[in-house]
Amino acid sequence: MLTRLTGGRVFDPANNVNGEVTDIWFRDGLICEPPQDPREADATIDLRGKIVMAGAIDIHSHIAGGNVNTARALLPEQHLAERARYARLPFAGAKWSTFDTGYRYAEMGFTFVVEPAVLPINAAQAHAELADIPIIDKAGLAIVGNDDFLLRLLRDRADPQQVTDYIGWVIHATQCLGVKVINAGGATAFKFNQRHMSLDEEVPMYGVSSRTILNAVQRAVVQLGIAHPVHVHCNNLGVAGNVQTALNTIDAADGLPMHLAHVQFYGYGDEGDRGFSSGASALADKFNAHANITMDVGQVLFGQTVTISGDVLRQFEARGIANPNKWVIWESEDGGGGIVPFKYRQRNFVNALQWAIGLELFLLADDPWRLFFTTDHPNGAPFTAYPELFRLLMDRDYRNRWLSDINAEAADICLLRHLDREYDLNDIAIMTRAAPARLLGLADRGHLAPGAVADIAVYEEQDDKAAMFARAHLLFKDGQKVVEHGRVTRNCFGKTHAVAPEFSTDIERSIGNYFDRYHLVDMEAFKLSGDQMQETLGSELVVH
Amino acid sequence: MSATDDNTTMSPAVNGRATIACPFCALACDDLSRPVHNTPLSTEQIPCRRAVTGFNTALSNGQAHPQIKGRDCTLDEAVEHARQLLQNARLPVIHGLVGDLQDCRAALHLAACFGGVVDHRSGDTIAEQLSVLQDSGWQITSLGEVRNRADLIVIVANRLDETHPRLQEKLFSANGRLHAEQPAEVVTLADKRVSILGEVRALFHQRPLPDASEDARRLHRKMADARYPVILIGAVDNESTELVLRAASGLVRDLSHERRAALLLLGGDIGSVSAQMVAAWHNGFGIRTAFNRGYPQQDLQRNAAARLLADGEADLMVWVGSLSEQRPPAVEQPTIVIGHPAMAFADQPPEVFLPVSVPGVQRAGFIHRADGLRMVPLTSIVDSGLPGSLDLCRQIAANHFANGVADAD
Repeated sequence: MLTRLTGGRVFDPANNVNGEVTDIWFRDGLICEPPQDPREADATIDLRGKIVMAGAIDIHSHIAGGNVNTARALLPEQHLAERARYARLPFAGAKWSTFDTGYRYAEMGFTFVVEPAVLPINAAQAHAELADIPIIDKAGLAIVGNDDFLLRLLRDRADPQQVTDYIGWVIHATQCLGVKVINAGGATAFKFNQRHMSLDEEVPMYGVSSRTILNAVQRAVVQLGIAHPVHVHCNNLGVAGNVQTALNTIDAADGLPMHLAHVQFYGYGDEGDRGFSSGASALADKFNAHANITMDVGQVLFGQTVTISGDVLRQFEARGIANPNKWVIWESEDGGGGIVPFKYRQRNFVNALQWAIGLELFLLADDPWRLFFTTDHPNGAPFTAYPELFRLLMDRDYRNRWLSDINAEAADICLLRHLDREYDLNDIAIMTRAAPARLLGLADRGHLAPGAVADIAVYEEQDDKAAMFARAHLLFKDGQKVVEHGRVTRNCFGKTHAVAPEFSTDIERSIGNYFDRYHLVDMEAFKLSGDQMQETLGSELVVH
Repeated sequence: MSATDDNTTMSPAVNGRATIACPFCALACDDLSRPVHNTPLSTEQIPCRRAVTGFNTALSNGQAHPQIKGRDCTLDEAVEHARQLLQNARLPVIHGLVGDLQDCRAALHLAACFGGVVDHRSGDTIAEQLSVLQDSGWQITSLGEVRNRADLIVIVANRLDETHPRLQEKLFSANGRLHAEQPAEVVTLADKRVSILGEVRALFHQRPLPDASEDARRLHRKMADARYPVILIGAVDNESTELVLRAASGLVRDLSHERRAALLLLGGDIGSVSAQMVAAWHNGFGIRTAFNRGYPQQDLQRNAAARLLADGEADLMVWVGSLSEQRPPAVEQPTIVIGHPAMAFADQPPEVFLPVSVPGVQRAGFIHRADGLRMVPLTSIVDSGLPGSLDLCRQIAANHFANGVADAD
């Protein structure tokens, strides 16, 4: 079936299309060249007055895995459903279920989401949950850096090739698209009662620092040829003055590619009467000067949410400010983490400044190809708040109205009131489509040229950008119309994407011995196969 | 991965694996040697009575026919009859859930589709745990961490040998441990456990406690000396799971200010962790969640399957039990059994019996390990020709969600 979308203003920055009215054609799930004769179209959809973009891609959103699921069970009061939605779509009335996650992302025009924290030992459950998220395509990033096996290799000054092979093996075993490091060595240090971990502090018993771990993983990822650079959750998250940690981590990257996650949580200075200030300009300057660095923001928006993280040190520290007052801390073979509910308040000095710092980072960063939209869902805010974030960035007057409504002291000392920049639709298309596809190595999405997957979002052009992006006018997933007028109209299941870098399987001898000795898990049983992904976990695997 | 004759014919190693996992208790050990062709298993071959019984029963019962009221019928007839019963039910209860990931998915789809409630046969224990989680949260650890690093394990559980036969071997007598020279010290609390844990907590707070029991004083000293004490909680007889858990959880919280401490929750029954976990990501809450209004509502007391059935609020029971041949409880309501092929009903056959393949023996699957951290892959060893529960439930619910996809048109 050949479909023609006509009359819409197209934003396709990967192909230098910036708001021109042009036709998009697709057939069999892929975007194709227009035929000689437009009358060959089996369907023509008139999109006059509409905006056309590729389906949006979220590179960092906690949508699956043990932490998310525990958070659901911990907080039944936060997702009570009042009325049935979407009759006849499975579990459509179940808020904050995997199903709801897929439907809500699709409504906003998203077609691909990355779960950035797949703990290897928990990978099967993470993939089972991802498989039960409808419509969108999914991928995971495997967590390394607190696994005893890797720390031993580093402690014993093993041949770097072994580290590379091990990282390659982990990616295969977990069917992920890349790797993530969370407070490198921190969860292990916590096991020795250490409650703090900085970049150059050593993990007890191993004699290796966060820096050493990061560098080793970073080099392995480069050597394996994985498109997505190591995805880094730095040390000292949430601590006043931690902007220095982020700056030092950028230096530690040593010119090699590195992605820094949710940097808003590291944009903190320690100046002023309260010992808490914006470090956004220092971080943005550093970022602007280092082309090897990509970042996502982790914007805070006001309201009730829950923080979930593999950073057990941070979450343990934060348990005292849980709101409501309940929390889960957990530890495991290859990591740890915690779930701490939190309410960001606009009248609170720190929360208001966090909100401002995130926006400052967005507005001070020069290169939209290297900076990404996230709220670190659900840590800074639920992903459903993205439309509000888009409006804040696209509408200076709206931002200024907010500035007069937040904590006055925070509004006073932040830079935000002096920043006039407004994002345009092309910026949004870069940051939510073209750039994430490039960062993740997904050549066939994030753009609208022939050969790309026909994941296409259409929006009704409106002055209120929050309203515009909250509900896609149409969404095509693999060429199928799945959303109309902001409502999911058709259910389908996307695929799970992974990479399969080459590595020497000789490493399995050491890993197998290690598992036999210390794990309650058989090494072979640890590895997820493509067959298991498809037949038992329930998701078709696409290997890039 | 299929075999053709009726006997226990082995398939070649799947995914290069020489060993297989056992789904017949919550430890889900994955180091068992594969059953040998046509030979009954023994505990010499597999060091666990429960595993041997579970595998032997499933291996020798690959054949079972769908039945309506005890009479053999075709699969289509049984499916159609089950569909009719579900469609006409006011409030069906999907109970048992003695199964794996796929069984839970199947049960949840039935519940969402026909406006029912799901509950595990050990729902009381799960619900008591959940109420503590929902009130206060907790600090927990994993089986591997306890095995490798705990230096004091305080057991609050009865019948551990029965519920988790290989726990001793796996957890307590571990030799190669990380950063530890010797196995952990193990202390078992026999009775008055809630009060002992409470007293220990008071002693840590240096509260005046003139009549603290000697057991409490001893445990306090041991915990004070330990680097990484862990309180293991399994099935507790004669005491409330909820109270035990609250007391233990409070103690762990207090200890963790200055040292590492944690709870190890063992789940207990087959499939109970999967039931709660899988239900949570499907409906947001977990078990005992009702779909009869079109949206999920959890109520840990009101939606207890046994209560709904006893009080006559539910008018149909669907029992899902692919991993146990144990019969469902006798109830007044008509019953659909989606179950283990070896189920026998004596003279009380259910309205519909739909035998399904046993995960880990007759089909592949995944089941949660007791600590909830890991889903263990289950291998198909023989082909029974029986349908899997998920495919079956999709057939039953075909008009609602074909292949999990709604016909939105």
